[in-house]
Amino acid sequence: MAAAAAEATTDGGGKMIILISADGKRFEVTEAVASQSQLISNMIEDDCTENGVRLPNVDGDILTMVVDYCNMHAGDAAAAGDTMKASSTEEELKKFDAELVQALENPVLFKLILAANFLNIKSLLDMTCQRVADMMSGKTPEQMRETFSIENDFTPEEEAAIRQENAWAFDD
Amino acid sequence: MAAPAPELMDDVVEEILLRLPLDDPSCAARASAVCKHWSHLLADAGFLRRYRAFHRRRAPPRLGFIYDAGSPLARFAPTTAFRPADLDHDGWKPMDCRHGRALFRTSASAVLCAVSGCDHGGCHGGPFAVAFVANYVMEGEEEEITSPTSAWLYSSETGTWSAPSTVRHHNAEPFPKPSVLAGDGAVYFLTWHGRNILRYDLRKLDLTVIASPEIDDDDFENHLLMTTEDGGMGLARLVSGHSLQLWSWKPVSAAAAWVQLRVIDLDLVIPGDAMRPRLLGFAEGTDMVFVDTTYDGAQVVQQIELSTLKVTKVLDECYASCVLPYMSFFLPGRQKGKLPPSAITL
Repeated sequence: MAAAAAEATTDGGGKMIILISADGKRFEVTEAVASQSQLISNMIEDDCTENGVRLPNVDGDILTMVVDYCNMHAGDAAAAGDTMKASSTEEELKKFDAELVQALENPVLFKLILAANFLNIKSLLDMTCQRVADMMSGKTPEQMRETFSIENDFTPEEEAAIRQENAWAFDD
Repeated sequence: MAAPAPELMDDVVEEILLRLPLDDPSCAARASAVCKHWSHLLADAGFLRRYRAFHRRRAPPRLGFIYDAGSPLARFAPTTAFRPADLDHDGWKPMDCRHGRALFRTSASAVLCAVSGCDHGGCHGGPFAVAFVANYVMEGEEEEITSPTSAWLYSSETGTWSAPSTVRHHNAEPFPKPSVLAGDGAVYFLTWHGRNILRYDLRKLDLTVIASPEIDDDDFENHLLMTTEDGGMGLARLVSGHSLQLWSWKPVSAAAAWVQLRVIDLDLVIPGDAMRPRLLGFAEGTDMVFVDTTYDGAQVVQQIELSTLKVTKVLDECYASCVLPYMSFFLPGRQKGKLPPSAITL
């Protein structure tokens, strides 16, 4: 039913496609922007984006972030094509990326990681995974379990053995 | 209370664990105590390989230094959380450290992994070789100035030493400063006063003497072998207490020549009223030189990154004349948190 809109083109000549989140929110983006997702890039190649791309495991609020990120970074991907608007400077991008990940906390951060993984956007996955890895610095195993919602499946003896083997890492 | 975080798939968890910091190995050690899955993952050889590949683009991890803190007393001085069970080893003289192994107690010698094509990310415990160089002066021998210097190569696989390769030269007595392993498959040792350099070809088992670049002022404290950007052998030399000359040895066919790469004025690089610095060590395969400086009578070791001239203090109150950085791609999974006995004894 969104076929007409999905066929729209921009003045820059890039074809527009529609992304539809799990909760039905619609995002209109250029192919250049959407192609940063390897998943969508493959769909564009296979010509199956005409009726919009449904993303049943990405919520609207997360997809908003993903689309913002891709819009901001479209300059990288399309740097070769001079039809794009003046792309963001490297400094602006760095600032944008830093602000994006710094502001994120669980569970939104993990949802964004899952979306980046599902959509296969390498740079976004890299950035968000790095953020989680950085957050693990200085955390105890208990705090890490809490962050990741992981059950401790060691017996008390096994856990004691691990702590003893790496005793230097558990000093406070 | 925030909603619980969604569960991450295994491959995403692996992506995160790959990014655990290199310079804080305690983080990976604590992560291995989270659950069985993480513990297995962090100890998995395939994961370790990916971890090394992922971090290779970044600065190489230096876990600490080994130096002689007594007469002799080998001291491990960690610069990360990781530390061996015993920091001090009385009666041990540290000689070399490379490829996850350290060598103690001998005269000028070098230790290296013996597996060709190895990336040295986790090869400690595997076959290794030791190159040993000695100059023997007989008591009362008149011909002291041409006393022979020989080199031998030990193979841990066969448990045997090679036949010696011997040179007779007026100044070929090895000086106890760190050796370097260059990309040409040879180990290099300094001789006294840095006048000459011994080159021991590990394939041909051939020992030769290379004359250092000409200099008027002999000061054996202030020579240091290094590796250059292209993996060749280089020499750092501190002249007049502050002028750091960097040389590259470029063997061209039969003739070999020294090329001066740079001269760095350390007075401009090292902050404060530092007393005359000395060259203590070099991290092979990087551009990090370690120098000591004295502030108010206390000696501190500083790291100078030659490409950027960035100076970082790395050790306090170290009174050694040379330091050996121990560097490794290191993930303390189960059974990996301690130095295996084989890595610290020989």
